[in-house]
Amino acid sequence: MKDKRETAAFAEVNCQRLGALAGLTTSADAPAPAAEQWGEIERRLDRRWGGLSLQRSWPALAVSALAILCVGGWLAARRPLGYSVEGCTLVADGVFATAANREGVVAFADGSRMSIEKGGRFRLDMLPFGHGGEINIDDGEARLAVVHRAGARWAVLAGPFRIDVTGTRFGVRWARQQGRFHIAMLEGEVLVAGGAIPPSTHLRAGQTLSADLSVSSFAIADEHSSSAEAPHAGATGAALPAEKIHLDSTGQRGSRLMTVPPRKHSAMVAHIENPVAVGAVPRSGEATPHLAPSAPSEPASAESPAAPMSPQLLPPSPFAAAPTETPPPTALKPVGVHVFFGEGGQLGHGLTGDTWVAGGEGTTFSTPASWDDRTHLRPEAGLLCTSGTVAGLSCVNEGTPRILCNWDRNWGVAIGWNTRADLKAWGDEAMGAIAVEFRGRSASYRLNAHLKGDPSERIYCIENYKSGQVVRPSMFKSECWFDKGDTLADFTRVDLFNLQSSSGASYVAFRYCISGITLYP
Amino acid sequence: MEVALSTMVVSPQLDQAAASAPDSSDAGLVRAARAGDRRACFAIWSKYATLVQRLVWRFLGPGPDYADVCQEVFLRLFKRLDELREPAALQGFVVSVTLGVARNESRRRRIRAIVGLVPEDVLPAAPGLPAQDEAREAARALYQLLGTLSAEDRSLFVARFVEKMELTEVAAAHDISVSTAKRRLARLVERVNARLKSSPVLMEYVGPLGQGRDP
Repeated sequence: MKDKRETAAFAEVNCQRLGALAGLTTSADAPAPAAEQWGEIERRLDRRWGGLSLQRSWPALAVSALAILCVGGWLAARRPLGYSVEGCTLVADGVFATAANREGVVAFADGSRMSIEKGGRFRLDMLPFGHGGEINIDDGEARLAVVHRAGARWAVLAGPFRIDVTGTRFGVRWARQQGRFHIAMLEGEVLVAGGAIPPSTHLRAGQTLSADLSVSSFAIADEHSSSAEAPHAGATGAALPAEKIHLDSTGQRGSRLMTVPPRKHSAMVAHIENPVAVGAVPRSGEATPHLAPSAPSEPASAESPAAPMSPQLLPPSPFAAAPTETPPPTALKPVGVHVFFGEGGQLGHGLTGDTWVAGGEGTTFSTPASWDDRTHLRPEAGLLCTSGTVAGLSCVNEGTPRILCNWDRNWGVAIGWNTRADLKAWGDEAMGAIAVEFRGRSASYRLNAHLKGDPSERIYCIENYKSGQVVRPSMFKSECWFDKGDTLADFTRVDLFNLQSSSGASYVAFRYCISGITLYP
Repeated sequence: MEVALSTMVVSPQLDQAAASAPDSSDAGLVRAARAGDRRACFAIWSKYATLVQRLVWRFLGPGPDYADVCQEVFLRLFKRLDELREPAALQGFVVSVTLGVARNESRRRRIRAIVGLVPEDVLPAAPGLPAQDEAREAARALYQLLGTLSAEDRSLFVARFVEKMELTEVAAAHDISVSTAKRRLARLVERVNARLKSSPVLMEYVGPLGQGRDP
C-alpha cells in the first residue's frame, strides 16, 4: 500500500518535472505580442463580429447560406406596404405636411387609413420587409383606422409618446409646442408609452388619454363610466372629465392623389408611379400644385398600391367636441419635467440653452449636413440626431502599458446642450437629477457635465451611460473612466451637458439620436 | 445659426474626457467591451496577449502558426464575453478560452496528420526551445509524448504541471468539478508515466522514477 502511494507520488513528481521542461520552451527569445497582431484581430473582428470564421466554420456557413436562401426567398415575396397620399406636400424624404386649409389623407394598401388635420406634419417609415410601419406625427391631429392583420406591426410616434397598434380606430393629437398629447379610442385597443406614461399602458375603445409634458402628467378617462380611471401605479396624473366623442361623418377629400408603390425606406420619391395622375412631386417648401382629378385606382389590396380614399372608413375626429386645449391636470406632483426641443434647437421647460453637436478632428458628419464646427443642432421629428464617421485612433507604444493615442484631438462626437441661454451656470433653477433618452448604434456613451468657472479641461462624467438612466450630481465623477475622483454636489454650477460617443481603435460609423431630456427635482 | 460660445467650451473638456482610457480593471474592461468599446478590447488584448501566447506556446509547442491560434483565442474571447458571469474573473475566462482553442487546434492538427497533410507534432526549428542540446532533445521528446495524449489530457497537463494551476483553477478552466479534475489528473499522471518509459530521452532527463534531477 505504501509502495503504491510512493509510486503515485513519484509519478506526480515526474509530471511536475516534465511540466517544468515544457515551461522552458517559452524562452525570453519568444517574440512578444506585436501590435500588428492586434491589427489582424481587429480586422477579423470587423469581418466576423457576428462570430463566423470563413475558414473553419464552413458547415455553419453552409447551413446559414441555406437558411438565408429560404428566408431571402420568403422576404423577397414580401414588400413594404404601399400607400397613397392625398392633400399633402412632400417636404422631405418620407415627411409630409398638410396644407393650412385642408386635411390630408393616407390610404395604405391593406385598407388602413389615416387622415391628418390641416396644418399637420408627419413622417411615414414603412417596414422594409413585412407589413406595417411607423407613423411619426411631428405636429397636429390624426385619425387612424388600422386594419387588423396577423403579423402586422403598426406604431404611431408623437414626440416621446408611442402607440402600438394592432387593429383599431382612434384619433391622436400632438401639440409639439405645448408638449400636449391626446389620444381618443373609437374601436379596439392600443398600447401607449412615453413621457410619464408607463410602458404598455393599455387603452381600449371609449377611453381617452391626455398627457402634458410640461408637468409630466397624464390622465385616462373612460366615456363609458362616469368616473375617470386612475392611471397606472406610479403615475400622478389626475383624472380628466370624460370626453364626449362625436361620431360625425366626414366629407369627400380633395382631388390630389399621389400613389406610392411599395418602396425601400429611403427611395420613396423615385418610385412614384403613374406620373400623369400624380404630377410632379412637390419639393420641400413648394405649395401643393392643383391637379386634375386622378383616374380611379384599383381597389386596395395587400399586393397593390392603395385605392383612393374611402372616407367613410376613417374615424371622425374624436376631438371635435373636445376642448381645444386639454385642461392641465390639477393638484399634480410632478415626477419629472420633460425638456422641450424648440425648432431652432432652443430648449424649454427647465432648460433655456441651445442644443449643438461637436466632433473631434477625425469626425466627419453626415447629419447634420451643414455642420461647420459651431452649429446648433436642430431637432427633426422631435429628435436630436447626428451621424457620420470617426477615424481610428493613432497610437504609439501599442501593446504596452505606456500606449499613447491622439485621444485629445480625435475624441469622437458629442450632442450637447447649454443649461442657460446666456451660457451662465444653471443656478437656482437647477434640478436634482437628469435623464437623457437616446437611441443609436451600440457603443459606449458617456454623459459629461461642466461647471461654470472650472478650467475647460475639467469635466465630470458618467461612463457607459444608458438611455433613460436617471443620474444625480453625486454620480458624476471627475475621473469617471477610472470610476473615481471628485463628484458634483449639485447641478447649480453646471453650464453644459453633453452625450459623447468616443473614438475607438479603428474607424467607426456612428448614428445616435437624443429623444428626450427629463429633469427631476 | 452660429453658436458663440457653447461649442467653443466643449471641445477641451471632451478632449480630456476622450483622452482617458476606459476603466482599466477587468470588470470595467469587460463592461466596456460588451458595450462595443474597441479601446476596451484593445486593452484586454494588451493585458492578456502575453499570457495567451505563453499558454498556446506551451500547449502546442513552438510552431509557425501559434500566432494564428492566439488570434483565434481573442476572436473567440470577444465573441463569448457575454457568457462571462463575473466580469472580474476575466483572467480565468481567458485561460479557459485559450485552453479550449488550443484543444481544438490540437484535434485539428491530429486530423490533418491522419490525412497526411502535415506530420503530427513535429517541432520545427523555432525560437523558444531550450538552448542546451540535452534539454532541446528532451523538449522535443516531451511534445512527442504529449502528442500521443488526447486534447483533454494535454490541456490538463499544461494547466496543472506547466502553468502550475491550483486544482480549483484547473477545474474552473476546464468547466468541470474539482473531484472530476482530481480523477482525470490521476489518470493522466498514470498515462504520462506509462509512456515516459518508452522515451529514453525523457527517462534520462527525469532520471530514475522519483529520483529525477531538476531540469
